[in-house]
Amino acid sequence: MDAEILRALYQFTGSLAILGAILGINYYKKMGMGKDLIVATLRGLTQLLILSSILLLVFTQKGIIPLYGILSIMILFAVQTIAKRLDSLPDIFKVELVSIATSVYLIMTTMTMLEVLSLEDAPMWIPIGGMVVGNSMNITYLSTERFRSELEKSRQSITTALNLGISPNFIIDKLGTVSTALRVGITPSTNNLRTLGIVFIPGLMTGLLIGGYNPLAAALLQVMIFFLLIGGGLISSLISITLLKNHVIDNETMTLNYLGKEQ
Amino acid sequence: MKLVKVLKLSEVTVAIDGTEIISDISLEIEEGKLTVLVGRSGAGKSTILKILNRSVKFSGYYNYHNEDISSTPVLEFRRHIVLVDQVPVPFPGSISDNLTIGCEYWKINCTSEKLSEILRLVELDLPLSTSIEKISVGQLQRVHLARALALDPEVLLLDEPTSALDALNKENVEKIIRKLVETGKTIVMVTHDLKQAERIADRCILIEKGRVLMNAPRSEFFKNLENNTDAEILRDLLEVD
Repeated sequence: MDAEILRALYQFTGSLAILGAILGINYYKKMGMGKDLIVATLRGLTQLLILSSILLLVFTQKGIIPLYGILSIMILFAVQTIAKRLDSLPDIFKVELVSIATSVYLIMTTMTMLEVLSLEDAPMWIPIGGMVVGNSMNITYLSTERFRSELEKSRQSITTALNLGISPNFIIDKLGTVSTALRVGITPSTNNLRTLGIVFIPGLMTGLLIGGYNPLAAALLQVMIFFLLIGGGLISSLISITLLKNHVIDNETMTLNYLGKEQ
Repeated sequence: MKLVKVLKLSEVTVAIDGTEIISDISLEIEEGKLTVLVGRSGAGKSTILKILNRSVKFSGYYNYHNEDISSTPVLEFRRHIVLVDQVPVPFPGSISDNLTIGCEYWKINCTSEKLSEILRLVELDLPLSTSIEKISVGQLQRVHLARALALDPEVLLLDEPTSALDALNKENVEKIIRKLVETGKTIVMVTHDLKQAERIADRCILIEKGRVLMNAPRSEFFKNLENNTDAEILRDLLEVD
């Protein structure tokens, strides 16, 4: 067994003392959570061990087909997550699949072609791809949900405009619905960017520093990642909202469809 | 003089989730006249306005100047047949911003002289630059009407235009509606207030359970109303103040 694993086992055994203390408090205070705590610990450990094994396998992959294949699986999971939460919107799975896939493939392909990322370096390419997918999912969800709620809030104004023969696109732009939704979508990411290194300590940079990376190089890489994340999210949100604009109106009656309630 | 029929519905039915809201109605709207649809709440009056505005799906025939409407895009159609909803909804900005929103989209030259003329027509004595947030409900109702008039539509569809107004504002809006008719505008109005219909209508159509019960010029309509109408419907209609 190599030294690294022995050291990790030693540290883990040490941390069991804390688990013991937690169980002690549980027993003393009659919290009745002893079984839950042990099951949760074993479950968490097993899940992480499975994840480590998968990552070991994944990180040995190289080349366009395996890496883009893994990226596509991540995109599918992200789209399914959003589609479930926004299921009152018409054709939401298709809309989000087109939006997120376009933005993620665009960002990752551009970065690969510019040789910022390499298809030969899976341990870097895949986690960054995952971050772009995850962030696109979050930003797109926030902006699409806000777009939906803004449309519901402006329903009477939009109906009044449609009654004057004004097109949905014209009135939606006039009411600032799209710009509000996009702004809301990227606000958490820009807040993180603004407080980077003070309030928000990014995991990737921490990992790089622990791995012996030069601090300046790690910081530059981290800021670059942020640009990718915000850019990816903004592109997918914009596509999502643009596609939805054509789906939220009944073309036969030129009326706004029911768009559901906040979930 | 032969009356021109601007709009014509034939055998029109509206069904929602299998339930007929409007059943096989046929009616014609005469040019330059005020046609008032009366009936109890839920009778289907507003749905008929929505049919005329094409904002509800229906089966049957609908002609505009004897032409089938299906070849005209819905929004293009609505620029000429404008529905003024029951609830006046303001757009952000000034009175001018509200009046010109349709002109801006349809690229109609709405000069300030034209807008001032429309405000005079709806008897609204306020500068065009007045913020929409600073006006009363009665004034907003007139802006709502003026916004539609700015497009110079051929037909105005008014859905209970006085329902949210006090007696004085109601009387003023009725006068404005009559004035618009005198200037040649074709108006279809919905009301549940039979007395209001008697005051201002040229023709009245009684709607009950999605069907046309009676359709006649005003004097004839009110002459026959008592004899031809179910006592319960009549009582409900007359109870509205």
